Amino acid sequence: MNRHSLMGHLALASPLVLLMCFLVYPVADVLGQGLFSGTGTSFYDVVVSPVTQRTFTFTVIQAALSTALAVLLGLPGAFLIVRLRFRGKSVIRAAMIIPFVLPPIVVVVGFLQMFGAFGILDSLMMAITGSPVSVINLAAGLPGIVLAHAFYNIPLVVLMVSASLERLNPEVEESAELLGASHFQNLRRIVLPHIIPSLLASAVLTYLFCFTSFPIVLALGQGSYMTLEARIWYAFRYFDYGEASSLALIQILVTLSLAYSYVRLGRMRQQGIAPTSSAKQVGLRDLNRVQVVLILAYLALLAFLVAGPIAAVVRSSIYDPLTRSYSLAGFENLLSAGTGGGLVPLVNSAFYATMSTLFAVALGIPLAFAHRGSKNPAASLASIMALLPLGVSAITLAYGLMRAIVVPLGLSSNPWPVIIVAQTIIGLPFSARSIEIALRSIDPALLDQADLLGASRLQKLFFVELPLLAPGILVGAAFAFAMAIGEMSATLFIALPQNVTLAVAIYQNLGVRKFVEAGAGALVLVVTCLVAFLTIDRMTSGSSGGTL
Amino acid sequence: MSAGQYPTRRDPRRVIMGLAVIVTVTVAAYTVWVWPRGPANKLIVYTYDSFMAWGDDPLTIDSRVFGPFMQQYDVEIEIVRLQTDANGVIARLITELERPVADVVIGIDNVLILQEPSQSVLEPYTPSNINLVNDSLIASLDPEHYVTPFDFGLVSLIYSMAKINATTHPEVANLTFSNLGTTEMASSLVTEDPHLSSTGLAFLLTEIAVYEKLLGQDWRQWWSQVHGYVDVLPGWTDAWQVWSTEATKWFLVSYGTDPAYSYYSTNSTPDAAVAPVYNAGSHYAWMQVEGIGLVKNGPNPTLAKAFIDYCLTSSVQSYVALNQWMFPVNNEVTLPTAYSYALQAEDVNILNALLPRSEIAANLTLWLDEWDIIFSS
Amino acid sequence: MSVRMELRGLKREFSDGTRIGPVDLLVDRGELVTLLGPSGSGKTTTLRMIAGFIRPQAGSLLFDKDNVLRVPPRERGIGMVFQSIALFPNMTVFQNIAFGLDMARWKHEDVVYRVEEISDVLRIRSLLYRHINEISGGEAQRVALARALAKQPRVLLLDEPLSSLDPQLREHLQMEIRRVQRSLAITTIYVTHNQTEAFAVADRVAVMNEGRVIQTGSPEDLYESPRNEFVARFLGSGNVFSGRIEEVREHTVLVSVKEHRFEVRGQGQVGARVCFTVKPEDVVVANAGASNGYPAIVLSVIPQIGSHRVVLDFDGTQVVSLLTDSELVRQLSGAIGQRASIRFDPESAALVEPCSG
Repeated sequence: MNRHSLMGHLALASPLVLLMCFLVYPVADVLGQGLFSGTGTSFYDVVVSPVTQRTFTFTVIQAALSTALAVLLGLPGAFLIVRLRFRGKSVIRAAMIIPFVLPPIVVVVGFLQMFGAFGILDSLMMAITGSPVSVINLAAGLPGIVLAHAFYNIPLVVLMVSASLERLNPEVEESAELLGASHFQNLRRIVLPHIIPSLLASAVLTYLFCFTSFPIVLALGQGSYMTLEARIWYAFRYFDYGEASSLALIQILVTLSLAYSYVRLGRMRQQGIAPTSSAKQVGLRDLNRVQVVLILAYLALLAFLVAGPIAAVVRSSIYDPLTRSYSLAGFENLLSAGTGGGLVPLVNSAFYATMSTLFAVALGIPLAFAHRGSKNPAASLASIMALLPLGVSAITLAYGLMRAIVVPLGLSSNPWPVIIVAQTIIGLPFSARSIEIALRSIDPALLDQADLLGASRLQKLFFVELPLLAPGILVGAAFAFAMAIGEMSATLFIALPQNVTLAVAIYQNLGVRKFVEAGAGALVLVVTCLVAFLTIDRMTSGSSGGTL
Repeated sequence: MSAGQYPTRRDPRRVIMGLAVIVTVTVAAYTVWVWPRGPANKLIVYTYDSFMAWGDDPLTIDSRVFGPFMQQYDVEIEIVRLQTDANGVIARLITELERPVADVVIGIDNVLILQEPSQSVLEPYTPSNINLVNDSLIASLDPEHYVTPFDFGLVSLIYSMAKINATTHPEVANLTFSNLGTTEMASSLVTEDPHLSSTGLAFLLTEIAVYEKLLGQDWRQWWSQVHGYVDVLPGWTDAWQVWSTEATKWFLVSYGTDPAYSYYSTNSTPDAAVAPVYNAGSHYAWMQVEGIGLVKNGPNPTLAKAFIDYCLTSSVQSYVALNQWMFPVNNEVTLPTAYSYALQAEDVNILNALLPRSEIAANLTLWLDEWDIIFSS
Repeated sequence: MSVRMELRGLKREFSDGTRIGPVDLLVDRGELVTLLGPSGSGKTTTLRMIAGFIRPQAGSLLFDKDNVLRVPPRERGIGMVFQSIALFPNMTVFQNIAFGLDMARWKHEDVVYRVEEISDVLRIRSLLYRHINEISGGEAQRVALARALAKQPRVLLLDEPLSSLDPQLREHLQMEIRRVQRSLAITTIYVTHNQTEAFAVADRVAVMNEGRVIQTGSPEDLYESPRNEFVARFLGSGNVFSGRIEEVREHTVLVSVKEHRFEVRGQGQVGARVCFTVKPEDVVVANAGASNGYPAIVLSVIPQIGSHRVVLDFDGTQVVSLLTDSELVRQLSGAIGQRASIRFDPESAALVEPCSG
């Protein structure tokens, strides 16, 4: 092995080593201690407990229902985004990412104001039916959970499916039409097979998110509904490390197998993709009245479901429900540097999220390269490692990082580097995946060409591969950034007051009834990510979802 | 054409170096910015996020309350409000067991201290001025002195006077669990998850004490009845949120001081009123006592002990009422006038006496599991 | 500077069972050899073995006297134009052409001088500032060629470089490539599946089939005397007859095809199965009544530049003929599906090996 290939192997191995240190080791440490030290409930007792079984069943079912709803509602959106010509499309596409960055508490509040008893929807229904009492409350129980999950995940379905739809060569559809296929046949025989892998992949990802969902389930579940993740959190709170670890292990096993199928679907999807974006488009004017009505109805539904809670956030940033007046105090607070001011969380959030995005990209690139050599065991290891964060509960990770990294290294009174570690890990699946797919769509002839023109490995990387990966890197970075800046569970556990992030500050401000401050913080999160995604959408000419 | 007109290729190493420099500078700047200030030797106090956060000026509260102590002992005190509740504080202390950073912890209540892990991170200490504290509070909280009472409050139902009042719903004056058992009333009740919130747990214990000890009935009955109607939220904050935004939510499990807070903050008649549980001619409430304790193997045990003593004096205790909205444990402290709207300990029978500490310690997990089973059916 | 390149028994077997080689080929200094063959015949694989992307399991690759098989691709001094053109989409035309020079850390002034020089040769000076998505297919082709030539490679490899262009542009660029290749005198291998293109640009043509070079020669050689049935079918229009030798004469043999007998140039043993081929322009077609012809049925008459292409069915064998006699063509056009007669000189027919029957 010469020096260069040694360096190459080191570069590829470094993310794996880092993940071993900062993900596998801390989590294994917690799980090992919980499962084998004999404190708390044993694995066997956890598995046979009816509470666990019910929780597991509910987790599976609510995730399935949420996924079904998200896919059902997201699919028409994907078609509209691709096929319908309208102004402001890129803004809508970028706005799709907003749910990702909203802290769950903000979603819950938005949901209550939109769908709760006497919320906007209910008031409307009451006005229509003339009923003096609440007619409909969709922000509670199973419907609430499923709707909120749909709110989180519809955008994912829309972004991923529309990206795949954009790559369907219009000639294929046209020739099918010439061969006498009806619209429906065309959809079933041509379009559906083309988008099915991306549809499935988005469904698996949605399922994963819902499976590990925790704050939403707790907030809207009225105590009756719990996910495994919620029970893990319960167990940690009552210091039952045996139960926490057992449940975390079960969750890792389930989610990893799902994550693995997601990777497989991603591979499948890769076949026969032309990076074209010449999809057939129609203007609203070309459609008949029934179609227009259907589209408008769908858009109204989507606006209600997705835009409603967002609108509630915007309103809450300037409207104080306590004094029933409008004020800009929230934004002033964001610029106030003192204790309790919003500037520290703002700077913290920006710093942690930027750093962890950088690291997520820096680790994602070698992971993607390691993954590319799809035959060797390192490749499988790389893909599993990149997906592991999707399956490890945030609280388990945070606890592990505290035990295994923060305290032994004496970082207890200054733990910010570990917050960045946690946020990096949480964003990594997105950056790695996005870069990996971008890497696979590079024409191998370009690399051969660079080779023949005398480029060294590094020159090839810097002058050809990285520039070509740039769109994938940007998209991955945007998702990693969104995940990092919206992250709360792990940050909450690790952070000291001086490390508070915007997401955490929002939660705290709501807690002490500083509504406009919370609202302004949420609005900043929303706007930051909106701007980031708009920029990226411009730079990658509109296929942001395609590389997930 | 001259050579200068064509773009030269940027050396990637320079780009990487540039990026690395920017990152290094940013990280360095941030590191300096957040570097722990002040003398190396300072007293660190862990507490939950909302400690003393409810006053007029929560930003300066620490220096006002603990300033005299800092001057007297020439030491800096850092009140570290962890972004969590008391259970989370204990969880952090457990992870730091090998290398404790904190000296003192405030906020461990009379249920949390019953759990072995809480005791494992604390060192028993009896303050020299313990006589300032009522014996009954000590008995309620911790006779073994792992923690010393710091403040206490009564957990009670409150209702929004904008939504209902004694005229529309006369039963609020003497509210019983069976009143709350009707579909209409249960649907209007917001409480907190007993796993995640100390008020939620207090309410569960209230119900258990009333049914098991006063009524002599199976406590699970009532929960089975209201399950599906009552709204359970993860924490007090979320519960308050729902209660205050949703018109159909009349009742909230909260503290008996809420009307006082409402009066004090709006300077008008309170918009909330208490409805302590009623049974056979008396009202009842669960008392939550929050304690202050010495962290085991903390860096500054001597100072820490002095600090705990100091916390019992009126210099600290006089701030509790208007900043914590809990009752001070020091009985020499006079309560502010707003507290005339608060539910007083004298107004009710304290349920804690009915549920001995040992019984709670032995059954807590079981009760929670049974509650789970009711709620997940 | 250019080298004399020799492929000796280059061989590679793939895991899916495909076998390429042994390939033997000699390309002289400054010579342009086209590798011609149908898809799947191993042309591109051979090219990639030369470039170094595929490691042969046996054989040697000589540049002058040096075996370069162990030299990594980037040190072989090869310029290559891929079928997909493979211009770097993230760079301008200038940056594309300058890529190899920049990688070798040339001084910027030298890079500019060289890029301008080579772009003058290829007449793309005006494109240098353009972005890759701002140039046409033909321009992209020239840029790719300029890029391949910028570093003055020892060998130029062209892998179906014109396959994506329309016929007129293709013809034009063939001449361009030929002109540039001649003027730089660079040893070149040009892969194509198109016979016209191969013949138009090549000094010599190497026909490949099933992983081997089966015949090498000048375009004239190959066309005039294909040595085997495959070459004959691939280069000619497919007039291949098979039959048995009935009689051996001085310079010719008498071959019976079904119930007809043909006199064919060549030697063989009586009773042996043989194939022979006749070029379309040597097939003489006459009306059905003609005396010394063989009967055939007219299938189609298609006009093309300078002649008409007549396809006939001779007892199940398809025969193609090129006709210039417009009166005859007119008659045949009116007689589609009817009988005509064909014949050819014994001199214009040739035996080919091997014969699949």
